Amino acid sequence: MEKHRAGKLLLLAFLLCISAAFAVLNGPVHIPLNELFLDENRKILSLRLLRVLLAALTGSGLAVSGAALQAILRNPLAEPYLLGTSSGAGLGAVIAIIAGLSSIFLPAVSFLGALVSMFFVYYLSKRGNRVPVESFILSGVIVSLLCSAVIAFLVSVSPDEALHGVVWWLWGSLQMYDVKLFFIVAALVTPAMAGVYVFSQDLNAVSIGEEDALHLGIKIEKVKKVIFFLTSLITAGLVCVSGVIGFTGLILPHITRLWVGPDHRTLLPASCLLGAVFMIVCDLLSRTVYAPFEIPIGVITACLGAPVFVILMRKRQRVT
Amino acid sequence: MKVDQRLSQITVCAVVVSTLLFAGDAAARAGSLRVISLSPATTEILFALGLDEEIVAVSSVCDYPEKARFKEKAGSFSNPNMEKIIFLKPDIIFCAGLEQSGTVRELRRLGMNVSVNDPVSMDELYVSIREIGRCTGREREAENIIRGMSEEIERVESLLKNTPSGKKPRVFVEIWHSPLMTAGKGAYLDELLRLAGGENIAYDTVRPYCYFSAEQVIKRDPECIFLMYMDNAGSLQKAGRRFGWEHVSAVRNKRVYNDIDANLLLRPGPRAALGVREIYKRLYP
Repeated sequence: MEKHRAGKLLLLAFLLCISAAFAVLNGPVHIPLNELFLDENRKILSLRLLRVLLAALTGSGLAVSGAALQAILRNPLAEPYLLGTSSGAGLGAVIAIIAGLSSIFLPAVSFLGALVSMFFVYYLSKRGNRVPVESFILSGVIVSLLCSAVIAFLVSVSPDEALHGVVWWLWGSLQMYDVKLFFIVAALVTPAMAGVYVFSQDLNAVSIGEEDALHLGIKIEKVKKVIFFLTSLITAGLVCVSGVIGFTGLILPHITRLWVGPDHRTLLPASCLLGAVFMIVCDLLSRTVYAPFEIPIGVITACLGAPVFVILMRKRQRVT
Repeated sequence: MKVDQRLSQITVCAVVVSTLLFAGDAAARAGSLRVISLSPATTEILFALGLDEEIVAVSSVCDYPEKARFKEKAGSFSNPNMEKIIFLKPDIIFCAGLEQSGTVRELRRLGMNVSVNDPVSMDELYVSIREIGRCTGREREAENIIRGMSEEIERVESLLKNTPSGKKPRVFVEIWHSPLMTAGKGAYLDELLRLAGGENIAYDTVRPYCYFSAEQVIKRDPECIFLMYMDNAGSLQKAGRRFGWEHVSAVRNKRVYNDIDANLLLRPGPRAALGVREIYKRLYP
C-alpha cells in the first residue's frame, strides 16, 4: 500500500515538473528554446514563469480545499466557492473599484470582503457550540446569493468603469504581474494547505459520519471549524488574485479519489499535485489554442475536466 | 611599394564601404518606427496620418481602413496579449482608457512607451489627433486632418443657420436594444448630435452612456430615432414594432434610421465630421 502511494505521488510530482517546463517554453508567441533565455526575452520569460507559478498555486489550493470541504460536509458537490468566500471577495473588489481606490488595494479589499463573508457564514450557521453541516451549506448559499445580488445592484447603478473591472474577476484570469503579491498569497495559501494536511486522519474519520467519528474520539466541531477557516483562507487568497475559476475545486478531488482512493493522507497531496498539473495545462491551452486571443480559464477547466471525469467514472462503474 | 599601395587601397575601400553601410543602416533605422494600436479609433487616426508599415499590430476589432484587417493582431480590445505586444518590440503603444487601464498600467511598469487616448468631446479629439501626430512625427498631417474636420463641421453649422425653423428636431439615439441604452448628457455622441443640429431627448442622464426608460422615449416623443448598435445590426422592424411605440413621431413618420455606420459616430476618429454630416442629412432632408 505504502509503495503504491509513494509511487503515485512521485509520478504526479514528475508530471508537474514536465508540465511546468512545457508551459514556460510555450506561449502565444513562438520563441525557440535557445533564444528564450536571452536578455531581450527576459520580460516574456518572467511573465510566463509567474503565470505558471500562479496556475500551480491556484490549482493545488482549490483542489485541496475542495477535497477537505467534501470530507467535512460529506457532500460530493461541495467545492471551495460553496461557502460564500468567492462572492464576498467579488463584492469587496467591486466596492473597491467603485470607491475609486487605487488598484494596489484591490486584492487587499477583496480579501477583506472574503473574510467578512466567511465570518457571516460561520455565525449564521452556528447552533450553540456546534456547526451542523446542513446549516453550513445553507448559510454559504445564502451569503453567496446575497453578495451576488449586491454586486449586480452596484454594477447596474454605477459608472461604466466598474463593469469593466469586474468582468475579469467573474471569468478568472491567471495573468499576474506583481511578484510581491504572488509571494504574499503563496505565503498564505501554502501553510494553510499544510494545515489541512495535518488533519488528514480526522478528515478520514469525519467523512464516514459524525457519530462514528465522535465515537472514535475525534473532536468533530473543532475539525469542522478549523477546516472551514483554512479552506476559506485558501479560497479568499486565490480568488482575490485570480478571480473565480470554476470546476477545479469540485472535479479534481473526485478524479484524484478515483485514482488514489479515499484515504486523505494520500488524497490531499495527490489532489494538490494533480490540481497544479491540471491548472497549468488548462492555462497553457487557454493561452495557445486561439492565440493571440485568450480563452477564459474557467471555460477550459470545464471543457477539459468534465469529459475526463465522465471517462474515469464509467471505467470505475464497469469494474464494480 | 606595391604591397603598400594595395594595402592603402584596401583600407580606403573598407572605410568607404563601412561608412556607406553604417549610414544606410542608420537611415533605415531612422525610418523604422514601430507602433501598435489597441484602439480602433486610434488605428483610423494612424492610417489617416499616412502610417502603414510602421503599424506592426492592431487589435482584433480594428477594421477600418481595409488595410487594418490584414495587420498582425495583438489580442482583443478588452484583452490585449502582453506576450505578443512585448515580442513585437514597439516604440509606442496606443491604448484606449477604461477596459485597457490594467494593460496600460502593466505595460508602463515593464517600461514600454504607452500613449492613452480617450477623447470624450470634439476638442479632446483634436488634442488627441495632434498628440498622436506629435508622437509619430506627422504634425503636418495631423493639422491637415483637424483642419478638414473643422471645416466640414463649420459647413454644417452654416447650413443650420440657413434652416428656417427655430426648433431643432428631437432625436433619440439608441446604442443598444436590450437593455435600452442611449448616449446622454456629456457623451461624445451627444456632442456630435448637437453639432448636426439635433436635440437629444436624453439630455438629463446621470452618466454619458446608460440605460434609458422606454416610457421616457414615448413621453418625450422623438421625431427621429437613430439605431447605432456597435455591430451595425439594428433592425428597423424591432424598433418600430415595440409595444407602445406606434405613436412615437419617429415611428409614425418612418424616421427610424439604421443606415449610418455606427463606427462613424461611436469611434472618436477622423471620420467624425463625416458622421455629423450623415446625421444632418437625415435630420434635415
